[in-house]
Amino acid sequence: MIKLNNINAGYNKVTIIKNININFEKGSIISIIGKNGCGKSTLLRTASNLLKPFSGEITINGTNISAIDRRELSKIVSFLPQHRPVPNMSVYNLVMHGRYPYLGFSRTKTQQDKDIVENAIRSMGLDPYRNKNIQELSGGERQKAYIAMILAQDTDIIFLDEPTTYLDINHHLEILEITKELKGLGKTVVMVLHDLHSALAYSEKICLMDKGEIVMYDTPERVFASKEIDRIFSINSEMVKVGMDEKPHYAFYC
Amino acid sequence: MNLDKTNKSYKVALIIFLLVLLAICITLSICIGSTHIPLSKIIESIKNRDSTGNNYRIIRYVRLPRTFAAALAGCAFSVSGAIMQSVLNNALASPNVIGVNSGAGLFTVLLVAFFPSSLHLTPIAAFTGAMIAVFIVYFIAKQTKASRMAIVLSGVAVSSFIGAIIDTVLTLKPDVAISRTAFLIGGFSGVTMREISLASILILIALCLSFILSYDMNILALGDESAKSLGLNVTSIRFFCLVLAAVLAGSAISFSGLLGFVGLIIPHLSRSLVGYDNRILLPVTALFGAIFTLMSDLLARVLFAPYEIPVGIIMSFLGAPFFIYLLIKGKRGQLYD
Repeated sequence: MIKLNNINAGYNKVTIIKNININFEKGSIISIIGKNGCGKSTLLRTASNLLKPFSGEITINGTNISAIDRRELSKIVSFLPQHRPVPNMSVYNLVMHGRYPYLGFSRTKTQQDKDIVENAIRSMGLDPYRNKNIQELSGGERQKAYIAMILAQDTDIIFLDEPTTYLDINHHLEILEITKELKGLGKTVVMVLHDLHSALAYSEKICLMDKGEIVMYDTPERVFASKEIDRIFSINSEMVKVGMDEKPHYAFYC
Repeated sequence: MNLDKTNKSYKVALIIFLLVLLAICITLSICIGSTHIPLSKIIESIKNRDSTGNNYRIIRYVRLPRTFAAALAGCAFSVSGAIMQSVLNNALASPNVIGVNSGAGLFTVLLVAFFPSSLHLTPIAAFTGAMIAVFIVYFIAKQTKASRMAIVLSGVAVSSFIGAIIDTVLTLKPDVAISRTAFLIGGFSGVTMREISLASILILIALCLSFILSYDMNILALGDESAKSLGLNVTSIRFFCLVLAAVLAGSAISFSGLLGFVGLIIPHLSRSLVGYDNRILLPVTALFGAIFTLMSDLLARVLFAPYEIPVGIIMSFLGAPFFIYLLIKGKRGQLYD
């Protein structure tokens, strides 16, 4: 689906991520984990073409990303940044902005645009808030409004930079469940997560990073078993099975 | 009063109300002055086209240019302020705060002082000065990642630096062809159609382009990364919008002088009426700016009649308390939070 070959990237000529070779497969949830400052967000920004790499190439279904027109790319790849201003606009208008790549010169919305926005609002359970100002929403509702915008953008690949940080546990879990639904729609979800348990429990693949490089890219079970997480974070870990269905639960301690 | 700012009929009603108000202001501006000309006489003299009649000459050569200039400058400064506030995400941005006015002022003064035979190029000079100031602000915005405080502080610094140069030029060449006080405070006294013809074309083109780009400005409010991932060319749109703001402010300065607060207060007043959607905000700001400037100009003419005070003074009297109100209200200089 989206493939990074020998990518080196960073800011102001300082390399943050190096020798990145990774392939994000279609229809899966991939979590990038690693210590603060190890280049997780840089990797996400580079893969979504927000940051031009110093060297290497990124391809989407075999086509070089730099050969794809800006508008066309925004119909394939969407990105939800962690830090962003909170605009003074209604939920409906925010979600409608997700249709921006599809609008013509006159910026007129078609019935199809409106239907897609309605669906996005409904599927995020935002119907009661549609006319509310984003600034009046709680952190969790706000995050859902942004995800509704991403949904309206209707891209195959979705990059989420720490989508659950600062959220209450109920909203945290709700957002993770939403990523599962996105995957169910055939989308590829690549996200940076801080919560290691959530990353291991919700993803098909884990990309473990350290000092700007990918240490391991494998299934959660294998990454966990390798004890690389323990080494990088200098912690101990344990997996316990909880509940009737014996779901794996990952615990980390000093 | 709790009005639904997103309601379509509310917006239409507001636009119609503002258009009517503008028409009233234009009529008053033509009627009232040191010589009062009743409406019936105005219609009569326009019908007769009697170029020797006193009334006709006053209307044709004094009142009409002045009315047109005030309305146009009000539009231009206000929309320029609204654009800057939107694209820099800064409630305190406006042509006079971030140094665009002084940049335009400097080049106007330099042209008048050193090339007095090229006065017809004043709009171009003002626009060039405004552009240079915008370049500086844009560079600072980029360096500081659009930090609100840095932009405003550097605007203050740039303004006072340029102000010093303007003062130096005006002191060393006191016989320049512009009135020092009138230019620095801003006003429309003695403006002619010839002075505003080129500026008005530039302003009208820039207004149209800014209305066309209003939806893209809304997308900018989502933040650079979100806007980019939606396919918006953030760097060029932001830059082009700032160029439009510079064209608007620079052109207006070329005939009105350095008018103060209008570019700051009108966008805020308009936002409190119609919200943050630039598609409706910009036209409302344009109309409101024209009305406010026409009314201020009228006050400037009638308050101490037969003496006249520069309109900039009236605007600052009205604008400064509003500015303080804005600070007390605790907007912290950020537009979208």
